[in-house]
Amino acid sequence: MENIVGSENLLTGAETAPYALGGIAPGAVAFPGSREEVAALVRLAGENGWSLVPHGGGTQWETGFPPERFDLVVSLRRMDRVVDYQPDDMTITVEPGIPLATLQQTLAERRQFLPLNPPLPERATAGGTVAAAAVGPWGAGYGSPRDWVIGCRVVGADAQEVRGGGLVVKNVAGYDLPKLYTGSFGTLGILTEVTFKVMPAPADRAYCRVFLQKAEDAETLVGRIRDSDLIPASVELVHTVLWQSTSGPVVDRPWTLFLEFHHVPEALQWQLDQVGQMARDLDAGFDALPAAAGEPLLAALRDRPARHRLIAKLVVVSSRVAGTAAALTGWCEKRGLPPLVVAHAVTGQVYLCADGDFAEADVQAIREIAQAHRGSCVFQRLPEPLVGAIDPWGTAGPELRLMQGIKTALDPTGLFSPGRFVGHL
Amino acid sequence: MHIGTPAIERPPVDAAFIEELRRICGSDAVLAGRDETLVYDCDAFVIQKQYPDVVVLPGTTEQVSRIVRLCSERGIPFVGRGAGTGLAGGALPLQGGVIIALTRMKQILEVDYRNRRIRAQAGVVNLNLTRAVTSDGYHYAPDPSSQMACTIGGNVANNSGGPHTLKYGVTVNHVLGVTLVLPDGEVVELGGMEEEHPGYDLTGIVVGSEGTFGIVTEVVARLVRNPPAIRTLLAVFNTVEDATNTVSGIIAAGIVPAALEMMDKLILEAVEAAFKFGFPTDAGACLIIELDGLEAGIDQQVERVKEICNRNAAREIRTARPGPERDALWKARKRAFGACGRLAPSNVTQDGVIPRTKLPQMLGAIDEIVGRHGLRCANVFHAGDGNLHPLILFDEKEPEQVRHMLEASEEILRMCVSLGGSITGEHGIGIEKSGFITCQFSEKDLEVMGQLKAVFDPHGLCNPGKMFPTGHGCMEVTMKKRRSVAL
Repeated sequence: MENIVGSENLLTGAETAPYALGGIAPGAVAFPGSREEVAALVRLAGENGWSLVPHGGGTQWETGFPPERFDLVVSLRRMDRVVDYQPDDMTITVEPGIPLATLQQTLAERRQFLPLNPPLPERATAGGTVAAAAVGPWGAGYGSPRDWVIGCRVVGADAQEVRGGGLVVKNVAGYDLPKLYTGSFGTLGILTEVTFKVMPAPADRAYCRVFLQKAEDAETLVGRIRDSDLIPASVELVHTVLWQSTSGPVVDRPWTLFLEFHHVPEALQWQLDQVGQMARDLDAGFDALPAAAGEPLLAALRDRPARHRLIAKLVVVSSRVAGTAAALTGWCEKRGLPPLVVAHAVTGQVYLCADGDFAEADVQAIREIAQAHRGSCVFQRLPEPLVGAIDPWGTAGPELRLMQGIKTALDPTGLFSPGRFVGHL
Repeated sequence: MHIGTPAIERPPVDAAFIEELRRICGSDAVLAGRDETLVYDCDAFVIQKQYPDVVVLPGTTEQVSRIVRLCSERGIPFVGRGAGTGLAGGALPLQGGVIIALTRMKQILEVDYRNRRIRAQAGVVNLNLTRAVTSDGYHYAPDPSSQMACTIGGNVANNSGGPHTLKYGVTVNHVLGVTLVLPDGEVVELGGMEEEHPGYDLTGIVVGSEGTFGIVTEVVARLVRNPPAIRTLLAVFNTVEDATNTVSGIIAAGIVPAALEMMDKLILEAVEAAFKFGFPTDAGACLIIELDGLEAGIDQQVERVKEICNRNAAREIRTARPGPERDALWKARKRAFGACGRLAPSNVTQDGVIPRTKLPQMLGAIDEIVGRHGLRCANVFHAGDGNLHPLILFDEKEPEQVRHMLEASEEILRMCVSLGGSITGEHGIGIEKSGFITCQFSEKDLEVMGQLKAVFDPHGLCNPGKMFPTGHGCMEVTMKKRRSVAL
């Protein structure tokens, strides 16, 4: 491995401890600097029967089962270059290890942006965002990674590179391989390059908050917003306790709906006025925030779950978000925990964050809340004793056999992140 | 590695098999014999024809499952078919066998405005999705030009586009779940009403798989709220170059129109002769530029677009008012291909895509290639996406012209790939371009695709012979006699 990446780009022994999963540290951590070095590592691992677990910024490192075999972590941190940026085509090709914040800076120089904002953009990488199909508040206005990835390169189990998609925004030639790799959590290969389509940066941004007494009011409000001409970029439903521990005013209403808009100033004002009126109709509190105040608040909210030892992501349809959030806070109350619940109210991801000691019964109770709201539940992070003891993904339906077939076909010996994904794929 | 399905000997479709199909679906849902299956021998790719042995028109997912299971047990190939508007021969029953036509499965099952979802059977016509929700202020966004006929199931198979996909995205961006009958008859629900589901994005790879992974019987799709303000401009230019520079200028200025379409002189002549919209037939090219969104701020954007047009020597900019005027403009655009029958005895359409900034270079190259082969070419296309539709005019009765047409088409597609583009943006590979996919993808890329195919369809019974090289492919040739086609 030293011959491939150089000894300065290799961690062994006790140095690998920070990469431990489920209490077990990997045998080694390699930091390849090129697609060729990734391929060479995969070839070497294949020859030796080592497992490979790709690593980006580590923001979702704990998501999934611990690997069944944990030999080599392939950190893409050094592969952080912009390969090709064509502002006039509104496409950018990057290496996987580029942090999202750096990518956004590059785009901002040409007044463009990639409308994806998963948590911790200083750490989260382009490749990790794609591999984890990670979403953030902007999902409401712009969708998820599957909507923005137009091409990728992946080193497969035979150490050969697979190219999916391309450089153009419309392309139906062959099967849509980027869709397969997006959200595959490093189980089918190692992403070595990603091409995104990008957008013109919004002319301006505006933020507002509506303070609500009841979760039902939140549902009424989100329903009205969705049945209006408003085009919010973000619609976040937050339990107010999160504000109190983040920053901003102390408010006496338990729920806050936080909205972000991207548009020209005239259209921003019109939308804020509309939300203000809807808030008055519900007898709710309302405040509008300039971008300089709203942006850091939204960022703090977005990054908030990462602070906690347990993070559950429940995904339901939008109309069930408020009900799910209320049920989760009910569970927190019963367990004597602060109701740390934040949700993307349009795209339906509801996050529960908690600290303390938890048993399988707690996991079961949270899962039941998801089931009662006809949603799924993934534990993105679990406290140590539960890691490996419970299935963080939940049970899959009969389509699991297709997923198993794909995994077996593309990674027959289980080189990549063995056992980490849904159904121990 | 050979990943195309080899043309192997299939067991015959006999009377007993057809009788079993009748037992599953009822006698009126089974068509057999040349007379009854006549219209199923091709789709809108009419150059190649093949009769199915039998056509069956199921009404439920359960019936589809039983039909597919029967085919699987007997080793008989089957092909799903919607309205047959596909331009690449995707619904051609290359090895005979059974065509499973989904046209009777045309129920809209659920409309959920709160969550902006619609659930429909695969045979629902694209435009009928929009019609079902239009009075409540919603629509289904992908709008292929054949939307009055094509089905949502066919759209899923082809990952169909349309003019408004520039802003709103293509089928895969709007489909969240499908009910899929696997080639062994098992029914699986992939994705669903929620935005995400744990596991691989199987919905994402089924969309655009051209019916080779199974038969999609139900679809969960997004509803999009109608924009409160729409501004539709027709910008007239003396040269194609001025028009393409305008397209680049608009994109570079950070404006994403809802649609940005180009028609060149030949197309304008043909469309004007057919629809009498009032297109200037002496113009070099026209752009249809549609902006939509909130009323607040939209006119500023219109002014910026007009400035860019004027900077590029637009000789006139007209506005089509929402309602009949706008509808007439879009009707003319979407039926442009049908109007081209009057230009030459035959024409062939390509569907290549290039990075948008390469448009001027690519249009010049098309001119040069087609001219070198002694042919003429008309252009009508989705300029904002870089998705070209060069229409090469020729006479299919002249073998030399046919040869030149084929050579020119191949050169154009190779040029698209060499500029970093794709051989198809929305029509699909089908049988038409199956021989060309190797110029875009490496052997390894195709091997992975072949492995995916084998996961879903290990026995190669489901729409065999499509997408991958088999030696059967040839270019699409549009005959004058062919029925009105989509684009």
